[in-house]
Amino acid sequence: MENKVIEQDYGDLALNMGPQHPSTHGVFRLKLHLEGERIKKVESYLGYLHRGVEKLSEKLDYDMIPPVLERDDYLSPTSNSLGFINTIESMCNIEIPQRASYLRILIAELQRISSHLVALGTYGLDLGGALGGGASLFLYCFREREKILDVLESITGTRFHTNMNQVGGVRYDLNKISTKKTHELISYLEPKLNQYFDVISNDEIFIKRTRGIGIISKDLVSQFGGSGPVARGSGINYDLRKNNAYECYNDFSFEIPIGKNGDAYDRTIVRMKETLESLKIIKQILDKIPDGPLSSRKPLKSAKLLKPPKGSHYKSVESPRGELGFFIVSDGTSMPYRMKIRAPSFSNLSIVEKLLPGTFIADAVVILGSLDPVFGDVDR
Amino acid sequence: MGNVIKSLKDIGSFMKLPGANLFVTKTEDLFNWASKSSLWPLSFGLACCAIEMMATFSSRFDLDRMGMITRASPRQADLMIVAGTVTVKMGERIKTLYDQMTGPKWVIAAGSCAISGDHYRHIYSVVPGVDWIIPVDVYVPGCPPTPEAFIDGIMELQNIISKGKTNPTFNVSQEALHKESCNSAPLVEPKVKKQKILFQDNFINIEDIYEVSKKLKTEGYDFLNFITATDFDNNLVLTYMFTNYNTNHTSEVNVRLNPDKKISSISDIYIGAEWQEREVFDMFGIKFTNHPRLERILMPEDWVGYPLLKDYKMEQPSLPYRPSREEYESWKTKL
Ligand code: SF4
Repeated sequence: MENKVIEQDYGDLALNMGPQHPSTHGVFRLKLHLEGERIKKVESYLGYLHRGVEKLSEKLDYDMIPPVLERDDYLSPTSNSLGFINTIESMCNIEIPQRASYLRILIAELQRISSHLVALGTYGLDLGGALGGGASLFLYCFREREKILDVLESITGTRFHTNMNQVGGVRYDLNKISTKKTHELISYLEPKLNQYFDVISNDEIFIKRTRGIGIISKDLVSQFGGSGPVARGSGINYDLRKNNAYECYNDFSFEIPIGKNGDAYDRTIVRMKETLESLKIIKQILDKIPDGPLSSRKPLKSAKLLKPPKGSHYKSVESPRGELGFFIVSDGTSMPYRMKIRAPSFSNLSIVEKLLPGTFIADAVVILGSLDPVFGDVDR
Repeated sequence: MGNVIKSLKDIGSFMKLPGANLFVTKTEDLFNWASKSSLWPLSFGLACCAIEMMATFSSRFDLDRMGMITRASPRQADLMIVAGTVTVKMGERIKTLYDQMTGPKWVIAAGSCAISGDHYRHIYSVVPGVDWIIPVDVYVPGCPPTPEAFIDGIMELQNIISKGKTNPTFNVSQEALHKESCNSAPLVEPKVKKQKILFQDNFINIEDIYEVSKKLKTEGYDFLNFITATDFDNNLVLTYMFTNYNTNHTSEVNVRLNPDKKISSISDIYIGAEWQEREVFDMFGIKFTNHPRLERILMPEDWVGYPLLKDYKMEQPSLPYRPSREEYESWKTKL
């Protein structure tokens, strides 16, 4: 397979990038056909992290699947289990207590911020020069992320594979200490995020490097099934938290940031603004969270096996990368007959083959980074 | 400077002579001391564990203070941290990268996946532990290991280096390495219960799919959510899902396939369908006519069989890196 890499079918030079290249954000291989500095054609190869989750889930009981799914999109684990559990709950008509719903969203929004921080930090590394050596942005972002992980640890006991959600409710509750820590986190994060937003949106090098690079038109993004910040950066007002409100998102007031031009700059700014909106949601959760039980089912060990009625069902949630959906076919037993994961990164990433030709090779990493793919999610 | 002198005292002794100081040690010890204090890991990550590894390298835990700087080129690195799930497809690359590193070199397997394959160990595409590919010096358990565990593993490696003893674990049996790779026929699940088609709504004729999706597109269903298939008794059923951005309405379309598994591609209406259809081809062997590049997308190009078909066995071995269940079990009992 490897000898094919140096074949030059188009252009002067064929260059192999990945699968272990640090700027591909995971295990992704691009075969770039170059003419001078310009890219003429791109072929992409993926599947280096294909772990067969869909096949595995056909051998697991419904209650055993969420922890496995959390390993899928590993920057925002709870949104995976949230999507799956939402699908199961609407198949079996399970209602969950209000408090549980609030707690689910609390964790999901905390992880949205931490996920966007990783995206921004690694983007700094990709850009290199911006902000006086991209590494400083990376270090700052990871410093703030650690604070969020601390809060997650105090609530759930783990740093990011939280195992918070289960069918019927949640596993862990807020206590005095973790509530206090969350309050502290908000007052710590708010000025910091605002500061980064100011720095980034006014930084000349950053603007030079990302404005007008990798423009995705509204039409193109929908043709590819793009969603999340990639679609919103191009001006499509589509966020499942508002458009198809699941859980208790209707209780909160927040905005959906929209970009205009659909370039790498807009996508990054949309992500940054989203973190601020998430902070708003978290504040409202802490103010309004009602008392009550954590789950409407018995504890897992004594609960009956879930057996959804025969048929198929599709439901999706908004993960930090876009529409994360689950298509489940049930045959009435305790294991799914077929489960398809609609991965947002997979569709978002498929744009690269259209987007890269014609750009400079130095911009390839900028464009790839602005799509923010997670390869556990792409390859599943 | 004080720290350096302190750590040097462990491997030799200082002597005071009139006019100068003398330090006496064995060269071997000195080299070991040098290499343990400046381990340069190759910077690449595989999965979730890599995120935790990045956290270990960054602000709070700061591995630089242990003399560790990541290198992007294997030729400059002497430590490989395998953080994440190793798949058969990636396995070859890991072997190549390892071979490109200059010696002396060490390997840390971080996380349950790199150690044993974790909950994916019986999946057709996963190598049950990186020690089936390359020798491993230190195992760091956890899913994912916390940064503290990472640091502990690195300190353990430094201990091993300073003792000058390396005895890495290597699982792959020598015969397995010489066996032909990959192209074995797929194992067939002995008795699978295939169901009759479980949903009845929204079925259309197989010839109509192109026209129907064209119509949906003009009706404002811009957004193709996904294409997938399900393996039922006698039939494969393809499911398409479309969404209208403006009305939030989704529309599901199902197609019953004929035994020849052929259907026309819709990738010139929805460009995003190109990858989706490749995935369905890869997993189910459904042939889309008029597709611009119908190749495997997730599995290696020379893979045999279609994993998501019901009678394809989950535990498909793929030599040399993915052992058969028997081989795996016998190795486990040896522990
Ligand atoms: S051990 Fe756990 S955290 Fe690490 S790669 Fe495997 S599933 Fe992910």
